[in-house]
Amino acid sequence: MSAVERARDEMDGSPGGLEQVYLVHRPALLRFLRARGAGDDAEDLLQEMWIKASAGASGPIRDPVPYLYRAANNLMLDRRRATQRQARRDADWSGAEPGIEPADDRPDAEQSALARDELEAAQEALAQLGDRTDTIFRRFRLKGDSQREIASDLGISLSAVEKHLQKAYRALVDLRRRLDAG
Amino acid sequence: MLKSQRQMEDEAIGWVIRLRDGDAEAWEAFTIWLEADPAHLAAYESAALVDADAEALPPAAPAPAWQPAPAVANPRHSGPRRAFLGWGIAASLALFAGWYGIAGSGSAYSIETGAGEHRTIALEDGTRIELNGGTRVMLDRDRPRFAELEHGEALFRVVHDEARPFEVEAGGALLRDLGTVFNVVASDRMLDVAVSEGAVLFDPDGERKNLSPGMALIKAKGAPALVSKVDNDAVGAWRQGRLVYSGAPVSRIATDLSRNLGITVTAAADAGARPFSGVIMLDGGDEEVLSRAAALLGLTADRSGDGWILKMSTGAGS
Repeated sequence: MSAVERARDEMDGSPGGLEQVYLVHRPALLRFLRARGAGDDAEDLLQEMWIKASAGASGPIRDPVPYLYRAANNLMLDRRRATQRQARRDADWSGAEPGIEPADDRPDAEQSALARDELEAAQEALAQLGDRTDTIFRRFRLKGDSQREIASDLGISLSAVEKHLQKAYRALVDLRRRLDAG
Repeated sequence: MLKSQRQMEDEAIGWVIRLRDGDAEAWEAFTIWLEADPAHLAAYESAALVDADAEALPPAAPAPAWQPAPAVANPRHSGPRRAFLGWGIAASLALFAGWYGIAGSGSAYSIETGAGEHRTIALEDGTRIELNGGTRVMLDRDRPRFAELEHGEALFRVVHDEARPFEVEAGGALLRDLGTVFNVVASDRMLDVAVSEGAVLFDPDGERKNLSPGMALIKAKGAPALVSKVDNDAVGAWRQGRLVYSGAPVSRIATDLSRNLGITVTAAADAGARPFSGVIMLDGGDEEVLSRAAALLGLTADRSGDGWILKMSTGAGS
């Protein structure tokens, strides 16, 4: 049995198990962070990711490997988001609603008329794709239903579900480009 | 052969979809895809940011503007447009909810306030929970439409979803929202629910009491639930620094004062059961509030250790 398999079999769930999984997958996660644009900061970011991921895991984790990848991926996304937010803040200052914090204890929730307009535009773009695509996308993205669940509920194939999702994301990506251009 | 920009974007979108529930192999394959072409990273980041932004959308499509709002008993938010704006505000808060929320580890977590502290929590679906002092709620990333009020007091402003009702566990009972703003007080001995908008179904699998606006329910441990009336403005009045009562026992008021002021307030044994109707204002210093409250209650407030005790006025004989 490989070390990886042993880590999966024996250690899943327990907090100590997460550390085992982390140590085993460290090189792969580091490689991922580099590919994901971390560059020379990859080591530091991996460390940062691990501190957050281990602190965030108060209970057993079902799939520890994807959990760590997602944590690393979201860290990169957050960094990107922070840069973007800073750029936006510099462009137009808009006050956040005071005193409201997101559930996960995040600082500075930020909202603006701009975000509201964009949200409305996104709703419109999805509506134009038709009810079915709109519903499938929201179930998948917002209610967290799996593609498999959606397929069996609607009596359609998995690949049909994926096509609907691809279509919905495509519309949103195109919308984003139009918004950024205008 | 050079891939077209569009083709690359489609691949990036495919990764966003696949990685939402991807296993280790999917992440390894994604790494290889990123390494294959430096341009892949930018394509993926655009798609991933779009995906993150989508967090702000409501889980169900809004009703078209020319149609009446869905039949939800919620007279104060009757227009779809208004409902949508509400979503926009609340949801854009969730947009930056950060990466634990996105990571969805499946673990429960708690949010706690110290006595005298107020906090407002925005959930990803736009639901807001306003916590009074001395309160602890458990949330679960795997169950976004569920909260457990372990103890204390909270006002729930639930974004209603017909298909997925929001449920609150408190005082050993279950509350199911039917489109709602409601206040809950829970301890290990009692549960108090008051509804100001929409409706709440108390104990869906047992007593099944449907609470509409202006109704309150009080349940002591081991006793059947009692339904009474409540002034709409009184629901969650603590947020405006007021405590509003209609026939509440002094022991309950003492608990409320402790939670709101951040000091220990108890009721003397012989005073605890006295009923009180009226409003206690929370502005001013602790001593000021307590002497004012005591006067209203026809009691006196004395220092007792680190805190205060509400007791019968000696010598007054009343």
